[in-house]
Amino acid sequence: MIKKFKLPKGAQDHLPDDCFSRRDVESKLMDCFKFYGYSEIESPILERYELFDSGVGKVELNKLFKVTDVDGDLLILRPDITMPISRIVCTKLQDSQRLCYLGKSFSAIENEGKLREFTQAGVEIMGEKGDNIDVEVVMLAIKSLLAVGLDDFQIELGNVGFFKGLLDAYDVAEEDRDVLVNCIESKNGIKLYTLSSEMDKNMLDTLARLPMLFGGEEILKEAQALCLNAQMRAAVDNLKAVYAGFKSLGYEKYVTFDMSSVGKMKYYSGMVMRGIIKDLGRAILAGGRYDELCDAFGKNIPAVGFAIGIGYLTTALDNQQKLVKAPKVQVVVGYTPDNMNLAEQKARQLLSKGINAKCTFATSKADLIKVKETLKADKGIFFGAKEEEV
Amino acid sequence: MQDVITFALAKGRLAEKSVDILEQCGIDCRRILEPSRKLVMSDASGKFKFIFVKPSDVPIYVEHGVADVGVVGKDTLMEEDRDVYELIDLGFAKCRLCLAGYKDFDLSKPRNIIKVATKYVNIAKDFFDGRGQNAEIIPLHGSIELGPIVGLSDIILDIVESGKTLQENDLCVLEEIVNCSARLIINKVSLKTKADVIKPLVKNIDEIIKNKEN
Repeated sequence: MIKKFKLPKGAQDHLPDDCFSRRDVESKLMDCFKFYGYSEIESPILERYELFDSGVGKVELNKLFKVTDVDGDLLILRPDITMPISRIVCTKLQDSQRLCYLGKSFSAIENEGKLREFTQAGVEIMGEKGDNIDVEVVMLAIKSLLAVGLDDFQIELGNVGFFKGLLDAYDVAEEDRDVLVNCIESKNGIKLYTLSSEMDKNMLDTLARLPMLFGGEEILKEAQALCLNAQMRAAVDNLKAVYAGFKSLGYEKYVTFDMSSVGKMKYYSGMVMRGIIKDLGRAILAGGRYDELCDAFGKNIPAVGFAIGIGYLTTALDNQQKLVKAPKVQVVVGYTPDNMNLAEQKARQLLSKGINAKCTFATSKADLIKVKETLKADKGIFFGAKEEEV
Repeated sequence: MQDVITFALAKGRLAEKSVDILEQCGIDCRRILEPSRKLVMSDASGKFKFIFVKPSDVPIYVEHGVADVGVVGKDTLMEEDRDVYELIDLGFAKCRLCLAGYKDFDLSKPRNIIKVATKYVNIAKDFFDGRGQNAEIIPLHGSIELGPIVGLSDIILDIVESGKTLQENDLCVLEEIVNCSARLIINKVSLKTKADVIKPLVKNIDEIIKNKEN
């Protein structure tokens, strides 16, 4: 294989038709975010390694895409946009912000269909806290998926406080927590019982129930019966309040619960959310509350947000035949040097009538026919000495 | 209309045992075991679809969601390390994942490097990394036992059922790593989006397995 023909692992080209559909989805999402009061923000793709090296936002070194700076410093291609936004808010903006973004993130580990370079659109509400803010952010998740044309999705909610509270209630040592998180994340009730015999049997019995503790509103009642301390009760109360909020808005049909949600990112501190849909075996949206992430910058700023994977979302839309495809070019208008204005006017006129028209420089009818073939247009109009169809 | 549930199965004993359990759940699918070259088959009702794949590919199909449910050995699941739910220990296809070699091979002796022939490259790497032992992992696809015999490797890492193959080749188990058995795995989204079918099915299978154990 000739290396110059080959893409690096986990990189992908987006051909014109794909780009058209992706831009359509992206702009609908961003328009939706902006309509609800979120301002767009952009951070550099390159960050310093130190940003991801400490506190709850620490990312495992092998997952980070590393680049060496000319002076030998370690740089990172950002693994997500939440951490850079926290940095910006803590250092450059006032504490209260509603922000949205669209951009690429990178992961050093590629994994089958998972790309190492991927695009995400998302929002962050910084400096606000409370059940109603959680409702606001989940509502925006629903509105944005509706905006791109999906309607049979579920937003699955959990609260990491439920699981953390359970571990606290039994004083589980820090080093054992990762194993338990892993068991619960893979809903592996079996493994729980093969772990160290020092773990409390009652706790393991409760943990073993978590994997199947998902579904509608009724799950919250079951969860409530399992609460052992204030942290667990607060987690369930938060989800109940969020659900009540959705009921009052009439959007509760989109919301389900999974009490075993532990959140993919370690920085989650409260409610977590995941958007799922039948036609795709992957979550298209993920997010949650991360009140402690800004601690790393010496600030105490509560925050909540979510990100939508553009690749997964377009695949889901495509599977449902709801993806907007690039329209066929109907007319291409060609002009000789003297007729540019006339031709552009004509093309705009056609566009305003809903006809997909393009404009091009063409010194002869033969030139225009070539362009017409390249664009696969139905028809050409040539502005030379006179207006002619080709 | 009920959603069709797709199972990823590996042909052979795992599929046979899986069919036994599914039949007990009232899914009429015995016919998928009839000799055939078909890769996609259905149960009598058409509500369950079965795709036949290579054992090590089962977790991949399930992770991607092209299959909702799969049956796979714990050894394969550990090796592949896919993002799926591992819901039930089905209890059959029991075996041990072991280090094996000539019986005078002393594992505890300090070595610069140990040569290990195996199908389970990732498990082997994690295992020896965890011990801080430098290991040269030699990936093989079959007849792993040949490794020490022909001098390709010092030891092997493989599944052991009865231990007969080892015995006949003058090898023995040096250390057990983990006990394995078949697992029911489920796609992380399907469990939720097709919960109306999958949740009762999981409960049903769980009860059947528990009754068998008692």
